[in-house]
Amino acid sequence: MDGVIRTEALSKRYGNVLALTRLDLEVPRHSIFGLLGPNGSGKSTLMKLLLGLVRPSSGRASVFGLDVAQSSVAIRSRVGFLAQEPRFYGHLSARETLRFVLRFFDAVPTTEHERRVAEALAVVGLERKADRPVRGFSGGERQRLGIAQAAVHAPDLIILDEPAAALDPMGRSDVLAILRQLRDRATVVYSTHILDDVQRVSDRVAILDAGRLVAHAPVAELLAARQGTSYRLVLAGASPELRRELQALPWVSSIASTPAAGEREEGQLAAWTVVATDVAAAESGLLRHVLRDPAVSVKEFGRVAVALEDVFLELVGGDGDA
Amino acid sequence: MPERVAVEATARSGPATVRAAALRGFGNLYAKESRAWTRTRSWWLQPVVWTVVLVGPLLLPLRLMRDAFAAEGSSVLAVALEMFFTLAALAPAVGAVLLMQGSVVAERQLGTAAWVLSKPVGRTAFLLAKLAANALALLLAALLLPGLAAYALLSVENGAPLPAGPFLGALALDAVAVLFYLTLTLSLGALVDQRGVVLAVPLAILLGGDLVLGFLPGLSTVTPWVLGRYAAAVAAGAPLPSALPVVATLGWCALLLVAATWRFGREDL
Repeated sequence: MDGVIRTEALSKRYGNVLALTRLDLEVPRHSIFGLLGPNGSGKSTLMKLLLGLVRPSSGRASVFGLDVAQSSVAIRSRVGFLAQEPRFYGHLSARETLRFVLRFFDAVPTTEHERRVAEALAVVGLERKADRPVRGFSGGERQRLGIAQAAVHAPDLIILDEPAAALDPMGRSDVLAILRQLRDRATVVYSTHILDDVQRVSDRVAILDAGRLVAHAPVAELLAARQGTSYRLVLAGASPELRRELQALPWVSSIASTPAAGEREEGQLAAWTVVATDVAAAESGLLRHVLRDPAVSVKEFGRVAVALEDVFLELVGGDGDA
Repeated sequence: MPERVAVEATARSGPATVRAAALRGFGNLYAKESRAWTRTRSWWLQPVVWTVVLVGPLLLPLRLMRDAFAAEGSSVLAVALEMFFTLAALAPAVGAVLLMQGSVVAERQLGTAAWVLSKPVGRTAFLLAKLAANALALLLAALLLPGLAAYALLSVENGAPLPAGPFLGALALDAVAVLFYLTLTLSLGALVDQRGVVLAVPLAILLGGDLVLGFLPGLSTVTPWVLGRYAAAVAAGAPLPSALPVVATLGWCALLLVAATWRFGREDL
């Protein structure tokens, strides 16, 4: 794997609090890498460590092969960053803020600045407010400006700490579209609380909990590993005998009525979740077996899909937010 | 990839590269700090206010209380010179403390420092740009321009232009004093988190100087406290009593900057 970011036993301690514990992570080039975890799990600390804004307590991290503790300025010349709560100089307008940012990046010719600024403002939909002082911006507008200033110099790596926070659904959708566009020319690392977004756009995810890495894999792999062989059946006219017959099949391990509180009876309907030990046998035999009973009609049948949210809750417990 | 090779080669280079990285972004930050003066009404308001503050009191010996001073046998010109240069070491220093007290602390607390430093910017550059831009603007607005007004006024009083060399030398001595308080306040902003401390310590040092010198007169050689009196003496045509306070004050400035950049370089933002 051609890693843009690598961490080895990376730890960060604030006083008595271990914000990050022996983190080993690798982010491949041109991936969209989602960083998940409850509040205080160490996501923002990790991002700041990668940028040299925070010093590691132990371990090491490298970006583009450069050590973050030794070469942070060189690293930052190729990185765009959006903080969790973006702050800018209030007296500058959005356009001036982007110009100010661009002047730090020697790789962008001065003659290109105005075009890049105009493009960035258009991408985040701030053209009409481009010349107003940032101090008057709403949270969502600041967030949009934050995304623009992170991407305006076309960095090789973009690190976004909750880019969709403070955005309305349209704004969120825009952010996801921007992330997809960026994939072609940059690596994107971002944290979010919106797991559905991660599942839609990310190639890989890392899940942190209390500063520890609890999962690190491609999204598809993470879901597949937990993709049970569970099938949902909603039947009319199902009898207790049918249930006993299914339970007796050698490849059925359990049948649960859903919802869990008890068998749902709405008229003649019964909803069962059948857990099988053999996918092939279940997919060829389960429905066939049910339909042998002429009194039964099938209202719903399908494999139960596992969402990233299920995986997340399983890994970090149900009491945390993403 | 050539770009990547170049960056890695840069990172492996020696101390010169480390220094360059520390100062990276200075020009842009300096321009931003300077624009806070030039893009607002500060560019004309500050010189006007400081001229009123520093030159206005000269009307006491030159006009309002001229006869009283003359009756005491004092040279009105000498009194005016002493008044101007003593005040010019004090008032702009208070201005420097008030100007810089939130400069670094506020940016650290609001998060704008973290934002700027997420760009390819050296932390040393961040501090030095604030110092350089504000020092230049403040010394120009609060010392040089009022100084020129005072020079013109006192030359009229003298009936001929005053010797320019001693006058400029005296202004330079006051500038060293102001620079010290500017550097002290900026450095404290990088060293401590409490804005109150950043404000109180420089003001206490500035206003308590004479009191301390009453108990420990030997400190006059290693502190900026006598620079105002030295400036008045030099402006009156006397030689500089001792270069030691000047050297010591500039040394303090350097020491404070080293401490501030060392501490700020290790700060978790």
